[in-house]
Amino acid sequence: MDPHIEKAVERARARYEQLGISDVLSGPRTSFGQLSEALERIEAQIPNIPCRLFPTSFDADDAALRALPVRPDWKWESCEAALRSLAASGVMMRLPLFWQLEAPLHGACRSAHVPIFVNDPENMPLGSAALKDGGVDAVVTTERDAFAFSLHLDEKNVPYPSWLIIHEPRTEWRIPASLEASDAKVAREVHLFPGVPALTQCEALHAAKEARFHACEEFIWEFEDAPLLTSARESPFPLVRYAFPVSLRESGTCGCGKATYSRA
Amino acid sequence: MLSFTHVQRLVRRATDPSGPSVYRDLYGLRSREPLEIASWEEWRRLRPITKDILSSYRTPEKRFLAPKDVDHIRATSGTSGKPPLYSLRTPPRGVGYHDAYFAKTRAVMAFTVPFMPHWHEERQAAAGKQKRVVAFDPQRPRASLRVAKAAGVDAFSFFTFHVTRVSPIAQEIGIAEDIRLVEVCGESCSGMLLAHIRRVFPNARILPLYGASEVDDAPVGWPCRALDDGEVRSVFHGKDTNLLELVDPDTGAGIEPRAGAEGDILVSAYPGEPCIPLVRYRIGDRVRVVEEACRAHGLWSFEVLGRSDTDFMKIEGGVLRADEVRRVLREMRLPEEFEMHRYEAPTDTGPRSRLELRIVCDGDAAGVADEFSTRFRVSPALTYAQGVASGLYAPLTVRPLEEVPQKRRSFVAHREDAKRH
Repeated sequence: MDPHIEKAVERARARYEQLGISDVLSGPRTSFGQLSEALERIEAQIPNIPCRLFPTSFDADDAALRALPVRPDWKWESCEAALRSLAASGVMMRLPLFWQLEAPLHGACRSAHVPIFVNDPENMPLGSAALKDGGVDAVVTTERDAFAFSLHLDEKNVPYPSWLIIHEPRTEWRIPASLEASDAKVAREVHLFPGVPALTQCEALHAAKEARFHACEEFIWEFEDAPLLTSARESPFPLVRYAFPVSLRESGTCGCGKATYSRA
Repeated sequence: MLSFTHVQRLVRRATDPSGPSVYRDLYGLRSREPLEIASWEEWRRLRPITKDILSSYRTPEKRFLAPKDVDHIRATSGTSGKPPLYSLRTPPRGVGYHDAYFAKTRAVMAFTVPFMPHWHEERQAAAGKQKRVVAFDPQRPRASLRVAKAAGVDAFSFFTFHVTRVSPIAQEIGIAEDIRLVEVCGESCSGMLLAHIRRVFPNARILPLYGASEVDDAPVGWPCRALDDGEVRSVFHGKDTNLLELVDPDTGAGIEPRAGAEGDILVSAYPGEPCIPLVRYRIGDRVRVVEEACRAHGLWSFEVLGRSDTDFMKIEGGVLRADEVRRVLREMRLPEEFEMHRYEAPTDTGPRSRLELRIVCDGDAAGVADEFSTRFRVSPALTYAQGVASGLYAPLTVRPLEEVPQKRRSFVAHREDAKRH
């Protein structure tokens, strides 16, 4: 095993020992089922763990949804970088609130010196009005909402803002054809869980508007039969060789010098 | 309360020719100097500013700060039939009381109103506590509460009408008795709702909040006391960072804050650097003075009676709008004159809204009620009938419209207690 990974795994296993879940997460890889079981087991400890919490599902109705502790000082740096690249001057959040991304997005907005506006995704008229009159010119939203909201904007004859689109691993990683064809800037990320970016884009990839991404450096990646993710840094709940839900293939090297990946 | 020196500074800032023209247009100012007021009398002669006036300016035209200095943007719902008003916000001021109540809590589940989740985190950090805030998603309450349970949430902060969405789930997942504080805003709590909160969350203090989406210096007032042990009235004071005035709703004349006096409230806020200074802003709320000098604080106190503007009424899940009612009546080929009465229907999981529509109608009232419910939208994504089907509301009924000698109100809220808290 690569020494870098070995060290990370060792650190993670020590943490599992502290949490009393070594028996659940002792295998060579971690599945979602094992992760859920472990999170259920440590739930009573979470109030005493300094951390930020994200849900482990994008679907509010998922019975397997648990709370995943991440570093309390975690900052959504890829989002901040995207907002600067998009030259946003006002950002509208159209993500589901239960994804727990309001505070991290606000933090990214403050770092990028732009205000945030939280729009209930169900209230599209208010969202389109915010683009016209509310001082908002960028939207952070889901893949599904990008399709619905862009259609709404077309119907209302409202020019497209800039977009940061969050994809789930199991969605198609597509953007509306109208968005692709337009001059609107589009940045994209794929989150492992809400609030846990796994694949991100640099400015060069934004411009290309393709579903090609860089592997997020919060994880050490191994590409075996499936991509495996191990937390690169100390974490309240580190991942060890967690199987990314979809297969990836290398898609060349980006102008920034880093490897890119797309769905296999 | 703001001193005269403060209000002079406020007026100067608001009318500075180098800034947005909102107040200069309002006062008809042509000089190249800011307006200087010399007395409270001159202050009281300044024309109040309203939501309609602010809405007529696009956001960049009324912003007194650069975008980088704006913390976040809020909007009035936009479902009152009028264009939404975008309010630029800087961090809240005059909220020491809030910190005191929340000091003993561990983790908060908060909607974006009254305060954004990120702001709750900032207050926790300022108090030297671990940041632990779970954002409440009213469209997906169960998922929010599952994360809240894991977080060890012991305090809530949201709209009054969120209580009945949260309470049954909190009971089911076993956290109801852990809740130490429930902060509610929007409408004042009715007696029925207070009883429900006390029953479901027996260990919680209930903290009312009076705010307005468009006011940068939110909340508008601070609660004189928590709603403990049978207290049923949400009573508030003005803050050090603002100036509250009462005016006659018809003449605009000032009203002294004597016990029992009623009037429309104006708020002016504040010295310092607001995004949009408010100089005698008319919120549109009617208030009643409770005490000229309360025993605890020596300040005049008030309770909020309701909206002066009767063209809409908030309801859980959306807004009842007069123009929407008329639209549906028109489609149904019925006379458009109406009154809509909102009652509270008791249920096992807390009070639910029940609407009674009073119209001129000779036909089958039950049939008209069904058809109206199906057509009537309370939000872009929800009809009243859908709300009934999902358990949000009790079924709508139709009754004959009665003749009334005074001006008819489109919407009337009924509570089990005669006074509006």
